[in-house]
Amino acid sequence: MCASHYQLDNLVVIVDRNNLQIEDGPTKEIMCLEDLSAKWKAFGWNALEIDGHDMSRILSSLEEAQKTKDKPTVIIAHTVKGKGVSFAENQVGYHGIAPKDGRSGKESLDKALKDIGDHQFTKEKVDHLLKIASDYQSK
Amino acid sequence: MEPTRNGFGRAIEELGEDKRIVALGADITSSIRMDKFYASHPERKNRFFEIGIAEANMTLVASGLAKEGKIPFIGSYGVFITGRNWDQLRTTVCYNNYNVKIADAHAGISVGADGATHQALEDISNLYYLPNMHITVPCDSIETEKATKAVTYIKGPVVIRYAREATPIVTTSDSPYQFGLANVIRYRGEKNNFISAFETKLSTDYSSEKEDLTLIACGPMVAEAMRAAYILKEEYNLESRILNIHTLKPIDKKAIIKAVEETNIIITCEEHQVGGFGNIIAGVIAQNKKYFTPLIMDMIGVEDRFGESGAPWELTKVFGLTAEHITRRAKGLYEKKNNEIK
Repeated sequence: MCASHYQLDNLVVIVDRNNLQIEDGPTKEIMCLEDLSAKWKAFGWNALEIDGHDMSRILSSLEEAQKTKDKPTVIIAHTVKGKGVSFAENQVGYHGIAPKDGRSGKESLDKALKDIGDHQFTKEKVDHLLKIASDYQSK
Repeated sequence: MEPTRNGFGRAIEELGEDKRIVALGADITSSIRMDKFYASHPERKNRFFEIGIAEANMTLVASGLAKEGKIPFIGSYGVFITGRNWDQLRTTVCYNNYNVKIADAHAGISVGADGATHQALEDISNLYYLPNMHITVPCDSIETEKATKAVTYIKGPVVIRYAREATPIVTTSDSPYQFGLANVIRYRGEKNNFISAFETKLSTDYSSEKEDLTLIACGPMVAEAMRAAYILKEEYNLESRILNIHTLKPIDKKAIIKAVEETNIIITCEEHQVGGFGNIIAGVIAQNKKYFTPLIMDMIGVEDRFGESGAPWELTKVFGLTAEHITRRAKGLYEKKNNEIK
């Protein structure tokens, strides 16, 4: 209400709309949020809904926000929590925890990196990064 | 070692048998063990209300239920359940003396990795001065279970402050417990297991042994005070009285004054911003002690800084809350007293 009352058109809010709560289940079971876009519009915002994993759409929606005058913009970015990691995608239980099997195994760091497929994370690089972390701990 | 939250979980599961009891959640139930209310009792699901991450609303919904004769339990991490809804706790719950029971979970530094935003270090101060509010800070999982059951049936709002991380078990089911009375704990000499090295009595059953100093603690700091008492005796031959103030409000004034009159050196220990608990003790002492009773005092707690992300026991060391820290300050006061007497 405040942002639209004061016509803060230099303010952009991005809602990371992953449909999950922290512990007890999906948002629609815990406390239903829909129709989220209509709610923001009712408060006087310009509301955009985008695919939150499409970088070019994220950029173009930010440009749209910049061009919108006299009202703030909300970008409701539809996302999948844990996207790209087969065992964690859309799983409530994977909020704020490390892969359950540690470095290797079914639900592991190695499996996650394999799923994501970023070639810079070789075994040597991962070993090196983990060593930095454990050295810091022992200090 | 067992997390105090497990004690709450056992209590709420048993208490759920009473149909007047209802439970509410703000999307945090399993980590604070509120889910024990219904997890093995699906028939109780209609007495559990999920409110979503909306603590102010949860507090008002609970107030409405209390007005209609229910005994509602609300809970979340301490920072949220005593903070985001403070006006509702004050003006709706306390002003109307509604029977709302508040699980102030994940209190203290031992929350660990979630860091400063999730480590409740100001909740005692925030709640103590609310009229009609009661506060209990049990020392271990067994006492948390006893305390939760005890406060359910007293009239009026109550906060139960408990923690996330496993802490030492320092009581047994046979240990004395009475809401409103402190326990006196004395180290009796090395034994094979930690608990049997100590004797615990209700403050009203305890007679002075002319100890050298008193450690006044609440919550997980009681275990640290006990370890400190052990070190003080075994390494420095100093006798310590430990007061376990599991009931913060209403506080056991007599036990505190007796400790001042009989030992004259007081060190308070809290897993909280220093003084939140300590200043309450100091106030009781200052207003009630005899004119000629000597007194010196020190306080252990978090020194006016926010918490940090880290492993719980590392944080306890970094924030100066361990037995070793307590020992050093207690010994320092004892030496200060002796130097000034000369």
